[in-house]
Amino acid sequence: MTQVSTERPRKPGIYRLLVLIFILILISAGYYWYRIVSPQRMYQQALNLSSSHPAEAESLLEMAIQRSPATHQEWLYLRVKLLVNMNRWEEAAGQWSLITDPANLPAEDLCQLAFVAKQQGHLAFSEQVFQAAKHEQHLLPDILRSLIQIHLQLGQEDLVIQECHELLEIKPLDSTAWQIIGTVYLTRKDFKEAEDAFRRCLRTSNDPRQISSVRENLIQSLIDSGQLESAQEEWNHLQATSSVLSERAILEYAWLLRAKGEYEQGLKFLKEYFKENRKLSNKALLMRGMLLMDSGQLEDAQNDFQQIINIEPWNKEAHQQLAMVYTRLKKTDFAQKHHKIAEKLNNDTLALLKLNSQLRQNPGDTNLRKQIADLYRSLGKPDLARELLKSHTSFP
Amino acid sequence: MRIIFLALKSWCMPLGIVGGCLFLTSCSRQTVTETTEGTEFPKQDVNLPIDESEFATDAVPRQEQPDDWFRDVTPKSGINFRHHSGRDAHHFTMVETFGSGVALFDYDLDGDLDVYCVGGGTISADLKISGIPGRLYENQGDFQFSDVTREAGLETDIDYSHGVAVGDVNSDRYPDLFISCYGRSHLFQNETNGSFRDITFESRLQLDGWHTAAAFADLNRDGHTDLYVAGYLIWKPDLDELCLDPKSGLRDVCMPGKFPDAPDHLFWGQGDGTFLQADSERIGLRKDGKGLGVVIADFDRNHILDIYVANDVVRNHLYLGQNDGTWLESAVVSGVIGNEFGVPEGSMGVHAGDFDRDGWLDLVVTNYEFEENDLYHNEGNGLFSHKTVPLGLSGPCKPYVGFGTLLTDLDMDGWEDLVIINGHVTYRNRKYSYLQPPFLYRNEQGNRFQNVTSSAGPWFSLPHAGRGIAVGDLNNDGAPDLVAVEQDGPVSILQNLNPPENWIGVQLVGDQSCTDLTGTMATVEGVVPELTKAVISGGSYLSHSDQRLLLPLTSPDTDHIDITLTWPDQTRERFSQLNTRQYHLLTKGTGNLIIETISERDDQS
Repeated sequence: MTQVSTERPRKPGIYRLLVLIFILILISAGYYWYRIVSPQRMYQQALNLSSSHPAEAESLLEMAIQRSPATHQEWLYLRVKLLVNMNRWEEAAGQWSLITDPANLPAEDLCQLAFVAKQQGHLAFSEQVFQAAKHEQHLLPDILRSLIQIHLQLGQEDLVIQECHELLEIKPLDSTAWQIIGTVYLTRKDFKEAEDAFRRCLRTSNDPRQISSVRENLIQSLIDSGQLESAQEEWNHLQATSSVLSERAILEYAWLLRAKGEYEQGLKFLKEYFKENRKLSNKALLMRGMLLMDSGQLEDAQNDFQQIINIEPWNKEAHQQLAMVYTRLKKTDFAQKHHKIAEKLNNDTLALLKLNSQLRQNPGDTNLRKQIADLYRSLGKPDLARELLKSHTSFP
Repeated sequence: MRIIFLALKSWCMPLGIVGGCLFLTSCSRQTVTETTEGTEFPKQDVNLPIDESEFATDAVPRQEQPDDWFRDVTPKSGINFRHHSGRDAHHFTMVETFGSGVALFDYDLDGDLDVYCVGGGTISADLKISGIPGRLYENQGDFQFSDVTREAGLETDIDYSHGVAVGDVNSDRYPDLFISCYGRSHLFQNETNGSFRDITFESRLQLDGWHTAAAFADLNRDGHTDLYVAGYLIWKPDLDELCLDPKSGLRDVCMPGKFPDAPDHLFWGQGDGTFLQADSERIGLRKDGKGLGVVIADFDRNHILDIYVANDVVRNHLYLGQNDGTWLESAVVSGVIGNEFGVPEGSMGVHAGDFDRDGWLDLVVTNYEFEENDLYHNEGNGLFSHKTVPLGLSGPCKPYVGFGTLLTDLDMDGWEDLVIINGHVTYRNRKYSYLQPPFLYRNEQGNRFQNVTSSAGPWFSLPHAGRGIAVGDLNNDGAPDLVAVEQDGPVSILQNLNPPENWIGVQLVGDQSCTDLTGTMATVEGVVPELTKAVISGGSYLSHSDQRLLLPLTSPDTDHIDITLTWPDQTRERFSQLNTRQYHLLTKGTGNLIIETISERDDQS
């Protein structure tokens, strides 16, 4: 009896143990399935659905990323792409920031993503993605070119110059890089540097259109730095080598003639050039008006400036010049009126520069954006206002 | 490879963007610029010493030529003054960059012009800013001068000094000296015995802060000499102040836009050497402005003196005197706030003269690098037109930082020429050299200015750190000479080598009703076009020029001429049969009074 009684209780103990082990195995398998197999499946599913059902794919991927104990760079990256695809840029940027080593991602793919972001005006995000792709040497020149565009739009001129020089190390004959360097220096009034860059561009460029355009820049740089004789030499060169002169070239030369005191010649020159162009641009009208005023033909000058103001009431140069014509015509009230308008427009321009500089530090400041947009509208640039308000990260 | 195609295709875009920028700049050629902020630099010692070679030149002046206008006679003049800025303390303060002025005046009334050079100052290692007394040089004739600073009582404690103005504050005919300073500005009364006494405290001119240009004139027409003083910045030395050159990331002097404007002040002279401060708001003075240049003259010919203030970085001011004892700030509506597109500039020097002899005083203003200097033609009715480009003044001067300027007839042909001296202020953040060339332009009968710097003389062939410049006939030969002062450099005495064949000079003396004679007009009778000269006050940069009027006579055979003077109180007197080729002392009330009201005369004209 005692033997029987001692063997019976052993069996349930073993069974219990077996059941427990089985349960544990089941739990482990479930856990494995839940945290490893299922996310992996979800990722696979998301991958499959990404082109046809991006929203579903993104939800799956989000779940997969949450479930998975490990960080999968490619999953995160896929989610970034899906979010971009669905125009959820802020989430995409957030997801992108979780990718610890973006340089391991495929460079060409990254470039494509960055390019889309750039096209959509998400410059900061685009810049980050392009930077991640920079490791791929054969893509580097084009990546640098894209970064140059982005930094130009963001107003980060120092970076533009730096990247142009980086590009020139790889592609020493890239004349466009020199052209950009020169133009940035010209807008900064660093005339010596601008002149040097333009001359280098002229030495390396084979494109006749680029050569003409750069020579026009060079002429402007030389005039603005007071080197009138050198500007004349470059103009002679331009005239000798270009079959058709652009309006800008014509206006630069008219300015040069004005600076040299040759107003009548300037007027004659403009007349000759514009005889076939029935409708003059506002810039051409402004130039002609100034030459007319210098040569004492005040009524004609008044007409030119008034014409500009009729089309562009915000044109501060035209208001200022019109004020000067009225001054010389002894029409005091009109002169004072237009001086005041010109001053207001100038103040608005200065305010705009200041606010834009603040916006670059704080791109998310919506009030600032609205203020700037208002100023753009008052200065006759509604398209820039619209562009500025389009997103929180873009710059016109 | 699609991406590469896209990128290549998009390479045109930057050109579009930069082209857009260029389009905007080429359209207006304005001077609206944006400051570069937030640029990051690699870690480095920002206090790296400045390259001292930038402040000197090894170049030798060119040889003198027969047709030169001026000769530098400083070495044998006995004047060995050197301005001191305190730059050697390496604190990169703004105060050390503005240099100083010079005054040409006859302090002892012996008939020839003496020279006073403003001293500047020192800056200690712990950033204590102190002044250096200026030097007074007595004219001994034939371009010989002796230093009489000690005897004149001017070797005295003074704050960091910039500018000088000369006027008779106590109605004793002897010229007194006002020195504008960073700290407390000083007034020295001429004791009539060859010495000066500091009367700053008793004059009630307790003017603390940073003041630059100043000018005396009887602005309220009460017969006493008043004083206008331009304020520059509200700034205090701070060891923690750090401004960096945006390119190199190294330390440099700060730019003025960073600091608030210091207001200008007007003080009513009481005629006894004391002053009362005017209520600026009531009389119409603005509170803004970073003044560096002041000139007082009657621009709108309403017989009330006007004030033009050249401001650094912000718009200039033109105060037109009104009949009710106030001034109307009219720079915007008069067209004199800045460049030809109405954009304010960094203005420093200013001068007034009638360059086209139309009877209206015109204005010239010097500006910061790559801003054209402004020549404003007075069109009458308080309106001016910008004439820099049409008169040929655009171009060569543009890259430089303009300071002292004079619109004055240097070749005595009856047409006022233009001299401009340049020099940079910053040590690193600049586009051209620190030392910069001076310029001389010859007036071609009011139609155009011809750059004649190449024949101006050996001094003009070298670059300088130009600041103040004054004009005056130092040897009484009828040819105006120049005295220029450089930042941390010497003062240069430039003798005019071409005395005119015939000329006449007049020194005006007022009476009790009219101590200061700013605004007086002298007209030479029988000259076409009418030759008129007006007494102006202030002008150039921190300097005072000879206020005697020098009139060229085109006919070498004329031995006697008549001159008509229109005094500030609108009375007119004719002084007849004055001998030519000499200076005359013309005292108000001693000529033949012309009974004619001003309105009648104006109607005739």
